[in-house]
Amino acid sequence: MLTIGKRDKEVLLDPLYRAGRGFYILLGVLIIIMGWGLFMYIRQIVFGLGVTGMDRPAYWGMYMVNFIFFIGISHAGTLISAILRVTGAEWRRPITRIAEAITAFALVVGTIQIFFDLGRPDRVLYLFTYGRLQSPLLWDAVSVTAYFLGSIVYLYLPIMPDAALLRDNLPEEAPPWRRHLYKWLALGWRGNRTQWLRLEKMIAVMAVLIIPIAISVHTVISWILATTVQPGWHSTVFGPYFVVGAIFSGIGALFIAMTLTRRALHLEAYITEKQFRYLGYIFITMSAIWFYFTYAEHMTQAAGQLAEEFPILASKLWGPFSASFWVMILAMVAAFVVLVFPLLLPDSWSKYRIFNPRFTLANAVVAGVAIVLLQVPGMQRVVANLSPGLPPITLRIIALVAGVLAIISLLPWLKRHLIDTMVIASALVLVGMWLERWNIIVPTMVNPRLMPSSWYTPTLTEWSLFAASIALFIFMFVLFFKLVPAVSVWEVREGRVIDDVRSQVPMPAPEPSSSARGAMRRSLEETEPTY
Amino acid sequence: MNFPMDNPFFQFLYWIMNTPGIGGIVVVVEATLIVIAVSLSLRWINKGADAPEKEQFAYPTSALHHYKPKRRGFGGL
Repeated sequence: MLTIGKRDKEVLLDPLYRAGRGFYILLGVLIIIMGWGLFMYIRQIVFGLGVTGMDRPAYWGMYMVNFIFFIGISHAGTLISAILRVTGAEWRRPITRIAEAITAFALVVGTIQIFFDLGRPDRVLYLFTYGRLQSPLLWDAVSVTAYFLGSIVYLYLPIMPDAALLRDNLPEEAPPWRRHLYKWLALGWRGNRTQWLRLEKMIAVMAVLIIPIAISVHTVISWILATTVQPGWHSTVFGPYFVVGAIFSGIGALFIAMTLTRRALHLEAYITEKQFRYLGYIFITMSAIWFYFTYAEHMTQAAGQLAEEFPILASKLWGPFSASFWVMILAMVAAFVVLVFPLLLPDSWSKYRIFNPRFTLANAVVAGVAIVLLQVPGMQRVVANLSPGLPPITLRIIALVAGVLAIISLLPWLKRHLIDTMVIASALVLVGMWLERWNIIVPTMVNPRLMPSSWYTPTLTEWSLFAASIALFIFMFVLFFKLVPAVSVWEVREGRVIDDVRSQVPMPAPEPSSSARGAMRRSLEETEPTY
Repeated sequence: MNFPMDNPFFQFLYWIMNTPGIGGIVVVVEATLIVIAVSLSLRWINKGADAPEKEQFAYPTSALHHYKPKRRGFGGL
């Protein structure tokens, strides 16, 4: 029988058998949203895709945006679990399972979007009966199939020892189905040396395999667009651009999932600030790379000035898609500022009065009022009547300065609240990344090659299915962590062993160079005490 | 220069790339191979329980890897 320490059992295993009122309320709300989504989907099947905003030439809309978005989020597991496992990053241990679960569930939700987009779900069979190897859609089916099966296995393998632990430490009051479930999941796990060595070997192989598969998934998704000659999509940079965006949004989703799971299950002793800090460094790096690729993608379009391509760029910069484009940029810049600037702020600066939450609030209110006056229709006339000498440019400057001051004065608070900072940045990144997918798909769709331009607005059906997709993702996530510990118990305990062994090895000071040795000797001779 | 479509090798490549249904076969074969490989691997781990070893480990320890930490540092320092 496998045993577990009292503290680990109390925090990691016991909550699996307890469920408060909040849990059931959350499940109820999610089921209602999913039920509404199911109703709207059945309605779409009955009445056809005409109930969506899609029409020729915009035959890809929100469903395709969501497909790319969710598949992108699925990269969280690969990055955190596989890459960090391969590189031996010890701090990954408490967060690998959450990352791997995100991968599996985001892939499920992402794949469902294809069924939504097809209108008639039976047509998915055409991919197999009529699929030709020359089609990027088929390459996508190949890579997503491999990634999905690989991710499920990669999620399951580290669960085996924990399932055995649950099987052997099941409380008497636990329902019989749990005993069957854990027995089945443990797959005869006994925990002897041979099994451990085989399991570790298998996990290592999967970790190495899953990385290139994950990279292939998102590059192939980009090829669905890039292998067409549609303006704005026919780009060689799309492959890495999509992968970077996927990892970026994946980390964002992981931060939010980590924080919510940590608070809900009281895992503060396991998921510490260390995980947030180190993952935050990777987040900052991905942010910088994302900015670089975004600049490269748009710069080449601007420099090329192709007759078919430039209107799409113009529609994003100052045309009908400028709102979604600039909100995306603003969200990403804000996320970068929130992530980086607190790190640069010296502690001693906190004494200045500018770094005050009240000052932040005042500036935010001023900036908000200025933006409302600028953006809300009819308000500009009111401003002109009240203050004839106040041109819109002055209001813009006021909004900008007040906004910048609000952010600057918030920096010490952000520095003190690392986890909250990461959640704010992650929320901004997720919004920005969803808009990025929108800005890639929709402007090209409504301005296609060799066809007159059109317009696309998602309908209630599409918004409902989007909400239902998010609800399904959360539902699977919440339910999964009611069955399996959110932290990989054996990996955390193994980490403690490694920490313990390392603490027993005295680390010698760096050996000084010969010149430094001479200087040290002379210094010691000069300061030698005389008795 | 014309593409050498009279070459049987390129004719075969053309056929394999453009024949409807070949893609579906590839996906089914791929999924089947992955499922078989995973099943065999899981069976391999499962059969590891039959090894004549009395010790059981809830998590990998130094004893599992036959490793005993040395109290001394690098090079006897």
